[in-house]
Amino acid sequence: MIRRILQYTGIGILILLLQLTLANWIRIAGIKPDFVMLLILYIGYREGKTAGILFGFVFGLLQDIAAASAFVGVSPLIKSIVGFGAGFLQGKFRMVNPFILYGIGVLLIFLGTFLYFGIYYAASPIAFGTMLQRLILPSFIYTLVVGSLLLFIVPIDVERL
Amino acid sequence: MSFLHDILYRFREYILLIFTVLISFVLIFSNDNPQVNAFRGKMLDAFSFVQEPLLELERLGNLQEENLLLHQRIVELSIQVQQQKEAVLENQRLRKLLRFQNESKLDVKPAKIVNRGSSSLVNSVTINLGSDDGIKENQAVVVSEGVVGKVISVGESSAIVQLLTDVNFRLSVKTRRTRANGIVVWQYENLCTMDNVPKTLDVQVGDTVITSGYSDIFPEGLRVGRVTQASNDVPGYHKRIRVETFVNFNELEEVFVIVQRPRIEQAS
Repeated sequence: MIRRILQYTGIGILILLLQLTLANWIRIAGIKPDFVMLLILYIGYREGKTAGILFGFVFGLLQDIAAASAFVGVSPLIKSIVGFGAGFLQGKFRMVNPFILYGIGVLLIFLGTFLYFGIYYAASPIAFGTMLQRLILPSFIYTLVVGSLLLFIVPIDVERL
Repeated sequence: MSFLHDILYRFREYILLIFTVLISFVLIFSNDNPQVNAFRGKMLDAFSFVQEPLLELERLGNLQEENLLLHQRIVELSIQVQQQKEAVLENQRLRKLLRFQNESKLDVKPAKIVNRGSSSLVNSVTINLGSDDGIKENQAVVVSEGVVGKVISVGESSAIVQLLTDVNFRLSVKTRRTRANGIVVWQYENLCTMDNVPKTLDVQVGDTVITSGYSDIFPEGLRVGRVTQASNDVPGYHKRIRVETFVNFNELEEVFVIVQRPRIEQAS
């Protein structure tokens, strides 16, 4: 148990560093993929709701602080919810159609991105349509593409999920 | 008691979620709290320690291109300096005539950006100067092209700068040509709106927008952007004005923090 916590903590710190460096190098028109969101999805899928919420909150908080975000608290909120949602799928990988599982993952990424920008820019004068077109959809698609590529590149042992 | 324990155990994940959501909301609404800011400052120092070498590596790859650009910039600036020296002399002569005295000069400190932020949209950056270097909250941050933002949180060796491209940033400005006052609010990319400008005032496409000097943070006359659209075809009493910022916020690497405001006071 402790070994796993340390394992995820180590991977989480590595992902956070990638988020701070690699994500900046591969940004397109200011839009970056959210590696931390993908990690929380994976932890939720594999370890369940409790781990999803806790790791989501801690890494979300670290992400906000490290990112020098003007509002600390938005990322831990979103990541906890995404981790919780992903936790519902723990142990169901052999029972449910993989396409449905993938679809739920897509929905969770969209929900996370939508809520993040929705909360962050709630008091802003940006029109909802503009926000959807310029921020939410590009960020969601970029994160989804990177997540899908990772599914092919990094071998995930479905039997252990 | 056992029943309560059963309930708590059964719904522990929901309770945990509610707990983390509540803490998150407390954090969101406590962003101006000095204790939260102090904690952020400490954490920021730790992250900067890790991030700075990584960013240096990134910069090494761009050195040749940067060197070429800097040489070009030196030539441009040396021409500008010559022109400005003439302007300063002229200004001094005019001030003398008007009995004005320039009591202090703009004091700026150069800083490197050590973190651009990991959120999808860059709205704040971390710089490698902190309270040890005399940096305080609400100090203006600029580059040669114009206004970048202001310091919102300070650690010992690093500080967070809220950029003009943050939706919550408001900047009091005026047009250089007609002195029409307004508030600049960021929209997307390098585009902002200049709000609260009455339709009766003269603002035209191409006008340069500068800081008004009404705020305690930004001195008067710092360049902000250029008007790209000015129209009266909107309901209400105010114009619709779009401003393109002079600063390219995606390319920021070094900035300058204004640690002392210029004071121009009328001589008795």
